[in-house]
This record gives sequence, structure tokens and C-alpha cells, in this order.
Amino acid sequence: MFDFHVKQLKEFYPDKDAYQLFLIPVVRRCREFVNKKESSTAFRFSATLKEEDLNEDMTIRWDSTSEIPISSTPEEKTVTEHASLGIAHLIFPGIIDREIGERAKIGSRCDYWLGYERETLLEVSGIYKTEEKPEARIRQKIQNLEKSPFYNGRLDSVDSYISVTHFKEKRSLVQYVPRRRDDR
Amino acid sequence: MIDRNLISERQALQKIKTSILIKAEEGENEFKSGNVPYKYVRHCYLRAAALEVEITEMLKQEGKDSKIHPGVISAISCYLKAEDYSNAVKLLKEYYPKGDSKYSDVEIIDELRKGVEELFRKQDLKGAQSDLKVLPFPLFGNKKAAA
Repeated sequence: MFDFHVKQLKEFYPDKDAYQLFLIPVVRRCREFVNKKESSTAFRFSATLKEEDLNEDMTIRWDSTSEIPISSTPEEKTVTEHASLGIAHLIFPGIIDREIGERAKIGSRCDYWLGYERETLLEVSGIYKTEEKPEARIRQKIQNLEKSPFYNGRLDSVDSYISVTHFKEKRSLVQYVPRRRDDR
Repeated sequence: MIDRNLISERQALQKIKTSILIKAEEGENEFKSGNVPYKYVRHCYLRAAALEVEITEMLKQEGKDSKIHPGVISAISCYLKAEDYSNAVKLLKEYYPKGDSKYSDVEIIDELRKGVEELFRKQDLKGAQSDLKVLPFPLFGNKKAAA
């Protein structure tokens, strides 16, 4: 059983503006599919990791002060992406003992490095309320990952994880993707 | 749990850089919506690029040479976003010297190519040509036509 409060996101980014970029979208997306008076929502969490599989219930909590009004109205796609990233920030330290350490930039075809030693990539994706299945999104992300220079051997190959959260279905999936076999 | 007291100076810089990159990307979205000037976005990308270079230097000092490419790629990307082509080309010259085909098919080279095309379009062509001599790939099929 995983039990997270959105305030935990503060641990990752001491900078107020930075953590709010994740905190606000997480609350916004989670709130949409529960009664307005609720301050928590339950997800089904499944992970295929390097050495084990996990199937757990996951609760995300917030309080009345968690969602701060913002002046601009970001695109829905951005809100979903940042909400998924927020949830990934909460999940990963608990499942592989590594936090999301560093933003990976253009050219890597991935979002983040797990930890600070640039040894494991993380791709994060979110589905708002469409019928698309998270499993299909994971397959699509694996294909995308295969084009990464850090996967295909053009740069030093690394292992990767893919994290997909479906907010309407309240499901969160994590998939471990080993580096290319001939590079191991 | 992760012991946050053990975080090194490099890790702290990586964290700060990540925050700045998040702000830069968010700023880009806001710029598209007309809410912030590009000056703000450029400032964030320049700061992130400078941090990437600093982190790369630290990794080199730690002997982690194989870890520097993501940082260099990121720094080049950030300089391009900030429209600082001169520093982007400088990094390319330093880390991917002319004649080294090892990295010639890495996606960032395409990004850089696009960036330099922008340089042709926006900046003084004479100054641009001296920078372009360092590029490790043919820029255009026909340079004269591009000019």
C-alpha cells in the first residue's frame, strides 16, 4: 500500500515555484474524478521492475490549501504531463530507491534521469480521460525509447523505466526496460 | 530512504538546473500563450546551459567522462533555445571535433543544424561563416545557395 501526500513533492524541489509546477497539476487531475469534498483518491499501481513485479493500492492525498490558483491557464496536455511527473516523483524513491534526479534534454528521447549518475533514464506519460490503455502507451513509449541515443548504443547505453498514469481509470503503471542486450 | 544530507555539490547543481529547465519549458508554454516575454525564457535557458557546462566540468574531474555527453547535448540545446549560437558552436567544436564521425548521427546534430540555419537567417552572415567552419558535418548541400 502506497500512501502519498502531494506536499511530499516539496522534498524534491526546494524552489517553491518548481514544486508547484507539479503539485498543482496532480491535485487538479486527481480532484476531477472524485467527489469535490474528497481530499484523496485511490489508484491501482502496477510495476514490472528489474527483479520483481508489484501490484499495490496507491492513495494520493491533498488538502484544501494544496491547489493554489494560478494566473495562467496551461494547456490540458501540459497539466496531464506535469501531473504524471508529480506522481512519478512520489513513486520512484519507494520502488527503486532512487529519486528523479535530473532533467534529460533534447536528443535523449526521455524525460528524466533517475538519480544523479546518469545511469537510468525515465520516460513519463499521462492519459487524462481518453479510452487509450496505459499498456498501449507503454508499448508506444518503448518504441520511442528505442530511438534514444542512450538506448541504441550511439551513446553509452543505459537501462530505462517508463511510467504511465491514467487519471480517469485511476491506474498507474511502471515498466522496466533493460538496455540493449548486446550492450549488457 | 534517500539521505538528503549526503547530496554532493554536483547533485545540488543538477537539482537547481532541473528546476531552471522546468521553469524554462513552462516559460516557453507561457510565451506561446503570450503571458511572458521570450527574454524570460532565454534567461532560464542561458542559466541552465551555464549550469550544464559547470556540471560537465565536475563530472570530468570525477573521471566520469562517459557521463558528460547528456550534459553537453543539453547545454547545446539550451544555448540554441536561448539563441546563443556562438556558445552552441563553441561546445560542439570542443566536444565533437570536425572529422569525428562517432556522433554524427546523434539526434542533437540535427537540432544543431536547425539552430545554425536560424543563425544564417537571423544573424550577420559574415560572422556566422567563421563559426560554421568548425561544424563536423556539411551544413547544406549547397552553401552558396543557402547563403
